[in-house]
Amino acid sequence: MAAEKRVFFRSRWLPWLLLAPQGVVIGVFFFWPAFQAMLQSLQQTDAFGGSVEWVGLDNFRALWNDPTYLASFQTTAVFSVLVAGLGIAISLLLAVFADRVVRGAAIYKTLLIWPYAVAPAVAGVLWLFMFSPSIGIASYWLHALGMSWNSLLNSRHAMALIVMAAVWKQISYNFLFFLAGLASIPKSLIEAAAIDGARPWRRFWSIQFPLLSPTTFFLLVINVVYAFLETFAIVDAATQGGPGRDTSILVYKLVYDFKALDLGGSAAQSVVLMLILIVLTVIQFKYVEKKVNY
Amino acid sequence: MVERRPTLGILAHAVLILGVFVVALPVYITFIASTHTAAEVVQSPMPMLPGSHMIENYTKALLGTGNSQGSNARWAE
Repeated sequence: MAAEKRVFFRSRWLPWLLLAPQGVVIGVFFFWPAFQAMLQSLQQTDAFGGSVEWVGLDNFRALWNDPTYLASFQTTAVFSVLVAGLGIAISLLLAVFADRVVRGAAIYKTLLIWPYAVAPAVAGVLWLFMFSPSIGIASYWLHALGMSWNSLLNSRHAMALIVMAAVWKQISYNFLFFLAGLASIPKSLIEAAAIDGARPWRRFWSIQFPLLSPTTFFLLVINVVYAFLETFAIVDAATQGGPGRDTSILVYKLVYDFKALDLGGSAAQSVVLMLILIVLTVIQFKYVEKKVNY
Repeated sequence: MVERRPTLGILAHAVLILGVFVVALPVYITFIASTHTAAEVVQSPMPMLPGSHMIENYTKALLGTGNSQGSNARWAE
């Protein structure tokens, strides 16, 4: 690493003062609710908030013995692998080609970036509208092509629907970061490789992809968190966890149980979800970051 | 880029156009649907060209209809 840049503050309290607002925000919006949730997961509250009883780890034991909860683990695993994988792969492909073309590059980039402004719930509704088995235009085309699309009855179709909506929403975000990452690769490296006779495919895998690894690592972490947490709105809008419980990802089941006023159980689920995400992020930082070339 | 490869150039544009199509299609369809009455939208297939009810639907969506029905879209002609 180059020489560390440090900022020197002459006053002793100014840095703390400047950090204080952010600290307050994190404290109020993360630590306090997280602490409350952990506390609530160890209690059993009656539905109307009247009595509170300390039950220790009973809520967690109930979760462990609940087959629908274990099923939603598998659903979430499938969903997040598909969303993170497809999201990164498709946007990387688009970014590499958008970086390459000369004519119309600005138009392509603008058109591919702006859907990020669409809210997840709206994205879910848009795709539900297009793929609705009875009135959706995409269902009509699929029927015309011979495929019987029914996302209300077929779990795979329902999973495909939410994966498509979630990936569609995230393509723009990933695309933007990949574009920036590609632009930061010095052209001289690519030209040197071309002079040495490397073809475009080889240039991509030997030069561009390794130099993109910080961006890819960052997007992997962000996309996994996105697939676990922010896709609640998409599932709620598009399939409501259906058919049955087949697209009920962990965060959706959590809110569903909360709405059913099972406060202890949903708090336990949120603690488990938080632990899963912490573990996944730590794993990524510990093992995947080693392969990143900075 | 470094050298001219026509097929790769064409492939790049093709992939990008497909990407823009997939990304823009839901929004285009939603916009088209917002310019038709609800009865026209639920018929299958939905019309792919803008209809004539845009101002009406948007006014109702932004300003409300005054009665308590859920959807503000014009139902039928």
